[in-house]
Amino acid sequence: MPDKTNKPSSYDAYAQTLKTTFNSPMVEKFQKRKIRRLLVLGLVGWFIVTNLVAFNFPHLIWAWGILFLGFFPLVSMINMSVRGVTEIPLGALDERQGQVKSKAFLGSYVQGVSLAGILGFMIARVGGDGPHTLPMIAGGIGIVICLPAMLLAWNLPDELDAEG
Amino acid sequence: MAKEIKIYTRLPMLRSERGISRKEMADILGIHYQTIGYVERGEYMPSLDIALKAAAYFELPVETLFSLTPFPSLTADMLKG
Repeated sequence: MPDKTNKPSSYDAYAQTLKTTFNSPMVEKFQKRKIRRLLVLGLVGWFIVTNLVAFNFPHLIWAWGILFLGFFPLVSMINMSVRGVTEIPLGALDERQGQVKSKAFLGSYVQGVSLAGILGFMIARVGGDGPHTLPMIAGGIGIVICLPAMLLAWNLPDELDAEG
Repeated sequence: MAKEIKIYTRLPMLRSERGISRKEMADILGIHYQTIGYVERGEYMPSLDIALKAAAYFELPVETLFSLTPFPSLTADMLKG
């Protein structure tokens, strides 16, 4: 029998939780444009350093394993910096945020495909059969997935005060 | 390519006159307070739904709140009498 109450579905509850988390005052410090851009540069820097370590010290698997863990806090902070617009379902966003999300995904499609092509070419050039290619493949996939949030973090203007 | 249309609004003036913060205005209109900022800066054209809700809240015609051409300044209006 269908549920006739107005109880939110678990999906709506999940969307609401994401919205509340990404808009909490605790994460506001990440939402300044300067910080957002530093986080994007940090993620690009992380990718370069992880790959340099993997290529120069392929036997130090533990070292790039530890470096790889840095991906998760960086990506979380980038998502916080854009108020989770790329993560929150469309139904829980307002009309402008929905447009911003759609534009970010559309805009990152071309860059994502190009980046994947460049990475594929680089892997083919350096020989794609060694353990040193793993950080490039894993990190590359991670960056391509995060591209919409990275583009937003880089491009959005500084935010205005809620009380103004 | 579609031409970007700029929209002019009296929303900041009306908000300030009635002592309403961006957050309060956003709650009234059911949108995020950052969206109010974008509308006020002319960087986002709100939907008709939001424009009509704002007009209804201020009890003013929608064209008093939003315009495609710049509003005349209040001092110019006052000087005209």
